[in-house]
Amino acid sequence: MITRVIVKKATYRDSISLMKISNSISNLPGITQAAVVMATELNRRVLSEAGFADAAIGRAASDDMIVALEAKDAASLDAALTETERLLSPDEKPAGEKAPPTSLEEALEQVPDANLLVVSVPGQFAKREAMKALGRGLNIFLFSSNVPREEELELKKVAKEKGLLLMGPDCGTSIINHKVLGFGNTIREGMIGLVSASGTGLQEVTTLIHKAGLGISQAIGTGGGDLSEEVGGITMIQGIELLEADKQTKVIVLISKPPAPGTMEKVLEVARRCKKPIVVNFLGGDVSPRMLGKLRPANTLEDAARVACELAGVKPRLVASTIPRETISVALAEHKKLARSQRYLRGLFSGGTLCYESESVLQRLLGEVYSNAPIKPEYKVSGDAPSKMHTCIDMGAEEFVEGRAHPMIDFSLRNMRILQEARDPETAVILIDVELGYGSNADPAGQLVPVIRKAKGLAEEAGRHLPIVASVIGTEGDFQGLASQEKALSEAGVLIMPSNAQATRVSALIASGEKVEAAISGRSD
Amino acid sequence: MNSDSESTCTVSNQYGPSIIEASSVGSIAYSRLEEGGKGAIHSAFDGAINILLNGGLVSLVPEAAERGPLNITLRLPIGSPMASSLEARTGEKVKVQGLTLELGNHHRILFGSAGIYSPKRKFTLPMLQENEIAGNLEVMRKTALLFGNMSGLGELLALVRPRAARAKTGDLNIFASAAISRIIRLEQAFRSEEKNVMADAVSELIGLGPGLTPSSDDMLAGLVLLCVLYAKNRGRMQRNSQLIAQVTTREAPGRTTILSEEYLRQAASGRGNEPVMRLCAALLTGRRESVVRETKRVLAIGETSGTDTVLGIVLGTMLCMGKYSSLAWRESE
Amino acid sequence: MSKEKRSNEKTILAEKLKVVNIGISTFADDLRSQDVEVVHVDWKPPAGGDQEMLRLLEKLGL
Repeated sequence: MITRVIVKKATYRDSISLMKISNSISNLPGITQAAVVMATELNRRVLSEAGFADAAIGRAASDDMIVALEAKDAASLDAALTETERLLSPDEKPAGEKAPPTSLEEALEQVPDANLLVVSVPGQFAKREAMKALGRGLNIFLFSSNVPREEELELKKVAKEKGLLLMGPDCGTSIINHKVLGFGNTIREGMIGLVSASGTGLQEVTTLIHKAGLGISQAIGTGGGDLSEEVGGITMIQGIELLEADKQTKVIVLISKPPAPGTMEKVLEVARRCKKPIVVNFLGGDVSPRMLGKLRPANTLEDAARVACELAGVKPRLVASTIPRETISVALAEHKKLARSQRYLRGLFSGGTLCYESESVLQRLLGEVYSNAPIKPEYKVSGDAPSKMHTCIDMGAEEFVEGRAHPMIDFSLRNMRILQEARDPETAVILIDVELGYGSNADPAGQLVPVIRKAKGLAEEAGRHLPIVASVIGTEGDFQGLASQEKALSEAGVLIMPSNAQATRVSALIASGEKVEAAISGRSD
Repeated sequence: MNSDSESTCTVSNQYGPSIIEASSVGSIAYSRLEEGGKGAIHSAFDGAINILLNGGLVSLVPEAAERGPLNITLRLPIGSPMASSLEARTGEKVKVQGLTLELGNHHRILFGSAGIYSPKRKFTLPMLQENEIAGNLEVMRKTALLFGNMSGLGELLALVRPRAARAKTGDLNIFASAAISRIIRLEQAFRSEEKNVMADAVSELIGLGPGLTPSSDDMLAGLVLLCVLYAKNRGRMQRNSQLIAQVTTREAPGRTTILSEEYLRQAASGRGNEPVMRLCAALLTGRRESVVRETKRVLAIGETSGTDTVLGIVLGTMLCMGKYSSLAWRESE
Repeated sequence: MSKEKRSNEKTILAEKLKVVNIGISTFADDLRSQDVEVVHVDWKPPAGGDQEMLRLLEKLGL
């Protein structure tokens, strides 16, 4: 082992930079130990005692910085020293590099033939940027939320007039020309086109299509407000028309929470006229046969994927709405292990649409389901109150997101809630969703596994068995690694189901046993 | 250029200075500004610009960062790195005239309409019973273990309670290892109530570990702040708290960075940044839910600073309540 | 330079994406990693509006 200590005089870096530099250096080949600390007397002494001889030498003052390195051999040490100097030198822009643009106009000077604006500024400034962009002929992916409905309508009217697509506001996911905008997964190319007012809904359906062996042509997000009464589904209608004209698309899928009545009429009228087959998933919202005509209804996201695959003329490989016999046996066995007090299902969701879908499925199976985002207003509970009977919580709702990152990225609130439910003697099963892909946390399983182990441990200590069920939305192309994520969760004792609807049914089965078995076996909901 | 009461975040043109409003000024920072005069930038980062003025430090931070006795929070767009937005570099001159702080030639900060942050050292709610505090303390400790950054002294949180997780002392980083015996000595010194013994023990815990404010300093600041607030509100442990505060103020200069020295001095006078003050209040007078929430807020500070501060608060509380940490017990394993 | 498209002309579905990203920079990074040409705009609000940006950035963990 060779050690070396460098002292940099009056070199200030904030703590976060110091930590990053320290971690970078520790990971260099051949480096066994590295410390980047201020050159206080005590630090120098401790480093000296730890074998870094030159720490004691020289008259470093407390405001100087020390880098202490221990390496396997001289070569690694030298390489590390060079890299260290580089990391510690002040940032310098290489000569001739252009300053980044500070406005849309400047950006368009650099890319005059830009065709898409991706915008995520605060809601009150969104219209201004979007209107400018539409004026310059750009389509728009508008991630921002809190844009007033009147502004959304105004923007969409202009976009429509100009033949441009406005995806949003409040649009989290689109896949255009096989490129993911915002949050989304890596999906095979194929012939199914989708138009969706729900981000996580779009994520689940596209990943299921991929897992079935098929692929997508386009996935057009419309934003959460498109199917309101005021906006009238402008973007969804545009989406249908675009996909009808698109050569690659053979089947179209529409996804949304139940639209406002007038809007539903308008959208379905356009859909009925479309020459290509269309699957309509309004998440359990009832659509009258008159309005459907030859359109194919689907009550769940999983069903939408299945029907779309069938319409594409290819028998789906993996999408099934029936739960395998073995899984039903496992679920019933789990039910038998529960203590008498454990009677209720607790769903904790990062995707709002999935929460809604679960409530919709559970209503039929279990009856009352409470939620902070309920289907029926009489079942509303507050997000920070303890769960009441069967409860599904949308952890992405405003009351949780205030002041912190979205639950697909920051797991801390949901983790705490998992432990809370574990301590509750009435909790029979916990149901969660996990999203992979662009935009999501780099290691969701890494975030969840310690908490899951702890939760099960807490329940064990109190003499209870605590089953946890999850659906994982992702494909093998996602950077988090679908297989390793599922493996890690599985090893922690999580029962993984292929879709949110199935995970929901299995959880209901675990909580209520034979009472719901008949409703579940062999039937697609 | 005016500064009307409508929120003017920043106004600039290429010909003149840019004007930024301060939204809050800490009480100590304010006293330094009030004197007027000249100063210089000590260090400039994305998250803060530290200025030496009238013998002490004031820190320019974005509005989203915490308020504190030395902090001046600025109405700047979030996400703009402070140093480059204000073209600030170490050594650059600073001038204070009236209600304006001038940074170099281009930027002016108006603090005339800013609120003064001066947290009370006496809590608004009555202190809880000891067993309730102990309950809150355990919640704080566990929250920190779950969500904190363990690269400083944070790992010691696992060792301070007898039935805590079995972590072998061999697994600790070199600074945490070095800290254990020193913390044990500090605990003994605290109980001895002897000034010299305390001075020796405290001096051995200044300047140890990573960070611009070294880990042991953050720990000590948390510990001393808690003791001062405890004594003030409970009316007990006054002598011990007074002593450790005095000793810290005396021993810090020269042993650590200027920035850290300042924070230690503030802690010794019962002043801390807002999240830390709130955490102490939650611990000693509040419900469990607020303890969890405020702990997480503090843990988010800096890299290891937040976690190390929480360790200090835990140790300080145990000292004030006459409880023994099990560090000594651990060391003999 | 104003470009106008009529609905029977080329739409974005047929074109190679060329993106301007305004707001949160990780969206631009993700697009670059998919080999999409993207220019990032370092956007600042005209005046005020800090609280909203804070909320939005916090929502994305930045």
